[in-house]
Amino acid sequence: MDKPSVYDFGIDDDSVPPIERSVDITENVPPTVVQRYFESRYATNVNDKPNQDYSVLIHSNNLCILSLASTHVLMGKTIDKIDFQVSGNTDRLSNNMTGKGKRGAQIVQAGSTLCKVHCSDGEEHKILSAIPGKLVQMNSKLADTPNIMLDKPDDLGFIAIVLPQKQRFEKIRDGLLTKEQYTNRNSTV
Amino acid sequence: MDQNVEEIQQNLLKFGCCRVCAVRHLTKPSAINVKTLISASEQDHDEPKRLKENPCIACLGLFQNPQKDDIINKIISYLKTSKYDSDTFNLAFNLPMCTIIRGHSIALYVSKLRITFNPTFPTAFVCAKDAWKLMAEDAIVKATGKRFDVHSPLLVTVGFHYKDIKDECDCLNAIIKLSNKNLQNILSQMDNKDFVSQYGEMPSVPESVIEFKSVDARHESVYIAGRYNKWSRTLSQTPWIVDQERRLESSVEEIISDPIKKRALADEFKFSASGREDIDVRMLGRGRPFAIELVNPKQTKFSYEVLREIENEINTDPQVTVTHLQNVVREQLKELKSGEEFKIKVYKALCYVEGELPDLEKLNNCAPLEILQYTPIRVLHRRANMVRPRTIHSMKAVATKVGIDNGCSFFNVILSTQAGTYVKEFVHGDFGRTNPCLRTVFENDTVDILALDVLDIEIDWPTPVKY
Ligand SMILES: [Zn+2]
Repeated sequence: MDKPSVYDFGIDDDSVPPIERSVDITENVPPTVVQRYFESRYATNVNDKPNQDYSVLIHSNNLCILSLASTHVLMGKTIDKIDFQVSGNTDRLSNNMTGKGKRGAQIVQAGSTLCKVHCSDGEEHKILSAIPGKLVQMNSKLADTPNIMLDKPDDLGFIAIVLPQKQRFEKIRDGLLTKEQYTNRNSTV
Repeated sequence: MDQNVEEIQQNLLKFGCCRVCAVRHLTKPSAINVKTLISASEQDHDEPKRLKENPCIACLGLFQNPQKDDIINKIISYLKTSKYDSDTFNLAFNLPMCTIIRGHSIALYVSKLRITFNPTFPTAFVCAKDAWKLMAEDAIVKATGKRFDVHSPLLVTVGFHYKDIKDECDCLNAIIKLSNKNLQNILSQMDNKDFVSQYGEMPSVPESVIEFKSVDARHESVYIAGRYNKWSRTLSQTPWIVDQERRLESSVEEIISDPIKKRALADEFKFSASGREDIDVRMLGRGRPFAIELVNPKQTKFSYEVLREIENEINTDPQVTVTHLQNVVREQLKELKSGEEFKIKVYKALCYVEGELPDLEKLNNCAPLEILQYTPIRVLHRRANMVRPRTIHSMKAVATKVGIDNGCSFFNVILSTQAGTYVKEFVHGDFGRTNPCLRTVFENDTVDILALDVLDIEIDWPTPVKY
């Protein structure tokens, strides 16, 4: 970039390390966004239903991103349609909130239905919230492209963003399996 | 002097007015002359016998000695010791309410007599504050070297105490709600007969003298602006405090403010900048415009040399460089803030993909690009969740090497964006919440960002300094 000469002030650009030398780059593949900023936790058998297994990515700011875990009952199936009208008066896609406090956001409990999935094999499954909190965002892309939930669960196919109550946050986090516990559990089942 | 006026003046003196008050109550504000006031005061002091034991019924002793000289000396010594460098000063008086009421009472008396003598005579008079300022001005100017100016940025406020204020106001409080604000208006809207029936024909002779309580001063805010570079990836713009706990030792704001604080001796410093970069983002190029408001500064004169000296002191910190430091006025700050919202920002992002380099031309060909960006997850806890349209004006990707072979391909992207665009999210897409993004353009889910630099904030502010 050429800086306008009127603002020249004699800083020697050569003394500023180029961007490639301004950060430490590991010998391995650099950590992904998820690995850098999120702690990976799991909830299994939510509502005591087998393979209602979810991944919970916890950001350092306490926001939680819910997605299907690899052991979720839906994995390997094909989704025809997702229904966000979970009860007579609750539509997860019309979740209106205002301001930074997210006033008016829908509140979910651990086990609340986030949406209903109709599979190509005729089965119907409820997608459940793994944790309690404010529903900050439901992934509306799932309406048009439902199968990203299975193909890219930890990215485009996340289910929802939930913000746990500040006072209950640590208890909620500690009630979830760590990545290690989840992996061990899968290898012993 | 008009004989009638002379007669009223004699009456006021008899009732217990000091000579200064007797004169000012018979002078219209436009005709006031400091010499007349001073000679009235001197005459008073040359006649020590006359009602010497009673404070003046109008001013409660404000124009009488020893109070008058005592207050003047208090103001002078305050200005001499308080380090204010202003060449000028203005004075404000917090007079007890009863001095206003007493003035009103005497004014009613004077206008009543004047109507008898000469109905066309004006009734406006020189109020105590103005007369006192006129008389004190000369002594203060001589002693401090500061000029008196009603538009001075330095306002010296003198507070007074008067023991018997409650009794004096109580008789009027019975019929009207008195308040310090607009007291003069409240009184003049009152029916004169009501006033006199409650308060009496003339103010009573006071038993105590008005006392000096306090002198304090306040200088209008002074603004200093410049541009800063941030060379560190572990420094926040403003102090980073979570739950009253410091997360980082210092900040750009503190590094810049400390050398200025030391010189300005201000009560408060308010740092503002044209936007902000993340802790791990460098601010290169010609830097980011910023301004500091100095609230009630004592030292306000920053010469070219002093400003360079401050810059040098700031720049001993290897994390920050400040340039173009200068004095600005409040009106100029608008530009700083508008820049935050409307101006173009130029960035350089070091990106990578796993495996082979994608076709970089795909990116170079797609600008300008309109994107939709949800509030990034990393700030979503403290901001509303909204989707905003943003424009990427230009993009240029160039392959680069980092000297490490980890199976990834690296490239730099120089992009200029609309203010308010979150660039990191534009690279990785933030769980699909920024769309399109570099991942969608390259159709590669492994695109990510390793480092970000701001190359330019496209605002020509403040005016360049000649070095
Ligand atoms: Zn007086």
